Amino acid sequence: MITHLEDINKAFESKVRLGIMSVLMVNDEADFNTLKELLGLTDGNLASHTRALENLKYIKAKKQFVGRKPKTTYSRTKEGEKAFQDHLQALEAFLKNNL
Amino acid sequence: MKNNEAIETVKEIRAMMEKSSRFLSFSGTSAILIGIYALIGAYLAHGLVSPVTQSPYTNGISTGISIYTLMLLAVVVFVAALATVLLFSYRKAIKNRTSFFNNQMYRTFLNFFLPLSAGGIFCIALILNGNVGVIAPAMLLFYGLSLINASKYTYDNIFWLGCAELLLGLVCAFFPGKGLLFWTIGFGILHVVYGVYFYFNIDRKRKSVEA
Repeated sequence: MITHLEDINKAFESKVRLGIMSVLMVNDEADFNTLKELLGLTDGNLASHTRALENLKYIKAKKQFVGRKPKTTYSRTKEGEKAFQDHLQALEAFLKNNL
Repeated sequence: MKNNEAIETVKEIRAMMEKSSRFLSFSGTSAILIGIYALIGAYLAHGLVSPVTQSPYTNGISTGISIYTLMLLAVVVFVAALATVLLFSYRKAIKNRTSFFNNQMYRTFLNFFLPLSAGGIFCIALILNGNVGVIAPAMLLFYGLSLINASKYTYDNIFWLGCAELLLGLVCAFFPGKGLLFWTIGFGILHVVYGVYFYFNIDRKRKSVEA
């Protein structure tokens, strides 16, 4: 049981980060406002979590201008996809062992 | 980490994946209203098409006048239904504080209207060729296929409505002359039934969760 717990990714302990990854797993990309809306967060809150995931190289950001407004679009990276899948597997294993 | 916590996490992941990949601003009330429009339309049409229904293979020319009036009626019902769905979905999106014009909405509408448009053009061809008897099954079949196609991008349960329309269309194809009856069941009664189901199982549940 302890070995499975080790596989559970610390980065995904936060519900917000897990939420961001969940959205980006089923959508190739999502912009900042969409994520904000889906997760029900404030700008600052979401920004700090996306930055954390960016630093881990789990997601990547693309910045562009739509008219005069900046628009940031996020997408998952290979590493992020792997980390998320490992996390899910660890959760699954944990549940199996405890049932 | 406790067991419950892990289950909770998995549930949250699932919910977030679902919410972010599907168009969920559909309202049961609009389905009921569409059904009612169709019932009114069918009632009005009944007076117009009696000669057509009595002889299913009637040449389009002899029933020319009533067919065009009927087409106009169908267009009015269709436009009213579309406007209702858009309006109610838009209102629900605002109420749930989600955006209406998002990727999911475009995907749902594209996948719905693609087969439906093909069906619409096909039905026009049928009318022009005078194959009046097969219009009702064709409409039901194409509508059913459109719903099944769109169900991948919105609520799952629309799949079953699509199957019901499809089945009805097939049955209808074997009963020439009963087109209007099947049309009324498919577009009127099934929508009302589906709308009521949707209202009690999804709209109401959501409200009780929010409350």
